[in-house]
Amino acid sequence: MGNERIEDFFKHELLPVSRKVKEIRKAYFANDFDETAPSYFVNRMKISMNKDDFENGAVSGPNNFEKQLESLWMSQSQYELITLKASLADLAKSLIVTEELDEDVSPFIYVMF
Amino acid sequence: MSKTVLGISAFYHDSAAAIVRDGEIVAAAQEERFTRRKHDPRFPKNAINYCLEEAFIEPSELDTIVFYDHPLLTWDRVLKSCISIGERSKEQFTKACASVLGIKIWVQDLVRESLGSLGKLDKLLVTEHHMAHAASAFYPSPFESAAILTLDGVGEWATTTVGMGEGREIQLLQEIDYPHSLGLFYSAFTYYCGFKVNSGEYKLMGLAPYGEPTYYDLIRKNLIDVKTDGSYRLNTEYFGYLHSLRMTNERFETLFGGPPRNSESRITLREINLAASVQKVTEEVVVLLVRHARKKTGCDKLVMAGGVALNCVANGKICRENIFDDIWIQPAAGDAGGALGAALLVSHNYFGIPRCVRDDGRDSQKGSYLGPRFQPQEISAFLERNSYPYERVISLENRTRIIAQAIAEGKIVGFFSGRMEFGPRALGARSILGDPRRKETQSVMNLKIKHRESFRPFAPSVLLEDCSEYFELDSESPYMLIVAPVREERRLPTDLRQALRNGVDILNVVNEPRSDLPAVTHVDYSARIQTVNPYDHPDYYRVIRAFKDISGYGVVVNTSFNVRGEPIVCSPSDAYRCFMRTEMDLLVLEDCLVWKRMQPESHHDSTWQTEFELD
Amino acid sequence: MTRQILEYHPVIGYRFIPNLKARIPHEGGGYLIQTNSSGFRCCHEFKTDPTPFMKRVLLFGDSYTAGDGVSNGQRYGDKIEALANAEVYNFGLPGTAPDQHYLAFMEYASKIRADLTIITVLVENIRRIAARYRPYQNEQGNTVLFSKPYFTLINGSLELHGVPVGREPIKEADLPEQSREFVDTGGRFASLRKIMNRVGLKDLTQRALHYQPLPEYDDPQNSYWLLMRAILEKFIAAVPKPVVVMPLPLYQHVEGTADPSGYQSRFSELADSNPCLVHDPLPSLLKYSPTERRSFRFAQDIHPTPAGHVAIAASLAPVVMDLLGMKKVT
Repeated sequence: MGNERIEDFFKHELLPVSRKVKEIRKAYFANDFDETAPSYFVNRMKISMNKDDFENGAVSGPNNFEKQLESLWMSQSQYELITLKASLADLAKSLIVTEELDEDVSPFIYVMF
Repeated sequence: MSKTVLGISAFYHDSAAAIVRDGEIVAAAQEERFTRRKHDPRFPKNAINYCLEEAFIEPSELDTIVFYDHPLLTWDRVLKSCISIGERSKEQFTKACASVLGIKIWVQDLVRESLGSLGKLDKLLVTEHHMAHAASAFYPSPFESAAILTLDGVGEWATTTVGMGEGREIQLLQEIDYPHSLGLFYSAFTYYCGFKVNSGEYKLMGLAPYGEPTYYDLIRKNLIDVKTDGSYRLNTEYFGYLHSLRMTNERFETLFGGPPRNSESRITLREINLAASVQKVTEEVVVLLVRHARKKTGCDKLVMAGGVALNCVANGKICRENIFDDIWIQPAAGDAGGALGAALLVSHNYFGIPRCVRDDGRDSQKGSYLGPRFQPQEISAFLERNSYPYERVISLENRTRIIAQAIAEGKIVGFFSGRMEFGPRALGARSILGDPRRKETQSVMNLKIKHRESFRPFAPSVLLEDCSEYFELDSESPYMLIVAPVREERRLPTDLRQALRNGVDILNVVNEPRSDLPAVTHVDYSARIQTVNPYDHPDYYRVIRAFKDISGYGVVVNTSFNVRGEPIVCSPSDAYRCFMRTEMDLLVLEDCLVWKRMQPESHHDSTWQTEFELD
Repeated sequence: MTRQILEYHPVIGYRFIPNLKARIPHEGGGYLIQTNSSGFRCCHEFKTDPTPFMKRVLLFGDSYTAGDGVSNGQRYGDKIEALANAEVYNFGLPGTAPDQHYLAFMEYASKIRADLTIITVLVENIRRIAARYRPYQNEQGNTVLFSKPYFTLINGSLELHGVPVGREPIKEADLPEQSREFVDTGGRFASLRKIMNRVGLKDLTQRALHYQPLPEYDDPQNSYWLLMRAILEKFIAAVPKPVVVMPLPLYQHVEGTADPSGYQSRFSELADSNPCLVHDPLPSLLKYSPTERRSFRFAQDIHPTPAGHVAIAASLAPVVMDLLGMKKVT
């Protein structure tokens, strides 16, 4: 059931946005070298954390998740993503599970040594 | 007003918990030690239980609880990555949904459900992943101000950050973002060389000294572009992690002449030289980043954290380059340390607790002995309950002498003493000790204790005051995070690289002596050093001191107290089980001495072979 | 990792490891335990002389009194301490019964001067006093047995056996057939209970069948009751006066699925012929709503929750304050 919903979202929500993003030649990150750039460092806009940063990170319920996504993408002017917020919140709600990871490691972080 | 903060890291790799009271570290531990599942990423309920035990506090009495990573920003990265890739990211997206949307997003609910409370604030705080790393490096360091460098696989978006700390303030000034990551870059080679990502990186590092960096140019030309300030970008066309569950892809394979090595197959010259090459590139990038950090911040001290900071060969190089006057590296540099960093950051930054740098110039990490301790009476109760024969030697002097004598006689000693270490290294609280002078110590420890063959030598624990007698190292290395050369006059001539070129198997050359400390000297005459001072763990210091009185050497071999693939032991029960699974001769459980020869035959155990996988 | 919290004791069988601080993982989240240097889960060191301006209460019992499942400060003994402004010396030991409580008194408390003694008897203890062995799962995962001290009642006279208690574990298979009935298996119909628990029918079944979990109380001449009574009489005679005996009901009694009249009659008889006051907390517990009463035990673990301890304390406190000559706090 979970996988069906994920596939559905992927096919009907994510891929259209992906196509649109490619159409408008928008990139969320660079993929190749830039010989002309003097540095690849990005200067951080926010260099330290304030009280709100600490307090506003946790998600409390699907509605809050939806709001937080909207607020994040608005602040980044990434309006093309905002259409996904409601269905993402629905998807997240449907996926809440009691944690039982059957793998040693999540695929999204690789620590070293 | 006193403030107690619980920090939690979880759901990626090596979950952990830490408690900080008024800025002082009270306790920290990794979940794997309690669940006995290596690198356990699950919610660290056992580690939290221990931290609450050490602080002797109810969850409702905590001032707050903080999670070390921003779930929403992590999801933002996952989603944008999949949108960028499109159709080919389906597999990634499916997996990410389950682990991030299914679990991680709801961490606040999970904490509340597990502990019955979110503390007095009744709200889970979160930090940025790299802020937590930075805090774990800066706050416990002995420096009033310092440059900060964090390097790991990836946090929310950042993979590398440069910043500085001063007093109780931390600022991260610059970053490099996903998918460009030195951690992922190194892990890709780990994977390609047939080792497990996230745990086999230290093997790749250990393999590097055998080889020649023959692939260096190829890597620099095709895979990574490095600017003069150390900032870098990867050519993602060669890596698989953006759109698959593999680290490398066909293009990478074509570049390096074939498919990845199968973990069971023999290590060939290709892997050996790839290891040397990627290590050389990594060291170059890290040294440039360190130079940049110096220039950018103007600080004369450096602190580091993030998984890449566990590359002790690179760390040794940074030390020898003398870019900074002093360097401090968080011993739990990986994600586990994020729990500690998050708790410290909230203590100093959110609650405004002043940071006190110690007057004596020492750090505040307490030797990283931050885990559970077991009283002698608990241990004897355990041994008696199970009818395990033991002798109790209450006199510290007598006990120390017996242990040192056993080591000097070539016996292998399981040493369980004091609070368990926080971080991946055993530092004399949960260690297996041996005689470094003996040629056979390495092979005995590998085959009869660890149940593996290894191309890496063991680490030495050396008396701080004697370090320069054996090694070319001017600074302290209490956390085994720095590799330095064995002194030239102690080395023995060998030509192992020639032997390798002639087709001799790596495992046949590893046991050849290369110095008068054969068990700890690598093929390039380096050693991964732990300096032992009399303050952090006096009992361990005394054992080495007593060994010196007998042997003339102020050094012992120190390897982690576990068998292959097992987390380091935590409790007396874990230690006894491991002891009976191996050919250790003596188990020291605080003041209880358990001799193998006295144990009933029926307690011998070989189930470890099916219980733990290879790294 | 679960810490071992108990150690061998040659007379009582075992006690807590002295000076221990631990947090025990539990379905309620976990609980903090602290033991004193005598090996009891008590925040006070035991002193023989009185503490100036402070009343002292000696409290004996099993895991309900020791506080399995809750932190030290959440136990009814500690609540009484706060309510009555007295120091409560808690001698509670999990898995024990009045026979071992009496031995604990003789070993550790006979010289302590106190103003009141409370002997709490979980009514199920009537089985435990007859047991001579307790099972334990060892490091290899095998069940082994450990001896416990026990009394027999022969011709009206109590006789203590099994002291010093054996240190060595006994394999179940090595136990003679005639001794197997003396293994403490945790109550009546143990295997049936396990099955019922598994299928989730236990409460319903017990209610329907007017379940009587402890028929030993039905007859004043029952040999188990006679042994219990003799032990309690010896205990009452030995401890500082006044003495309160508090029979603690099982959750089935509290939740109305079992009939308490048997044990109530027996303890009433005990009070009639001994210098003690029997305080039955059940009537006051039954005044709570069914939902509240269910919240007095954990979802799985039958030990009292913090709310359960508060309710027991609320029932007991007026009695304690009265006997200590203190005014009730309203």
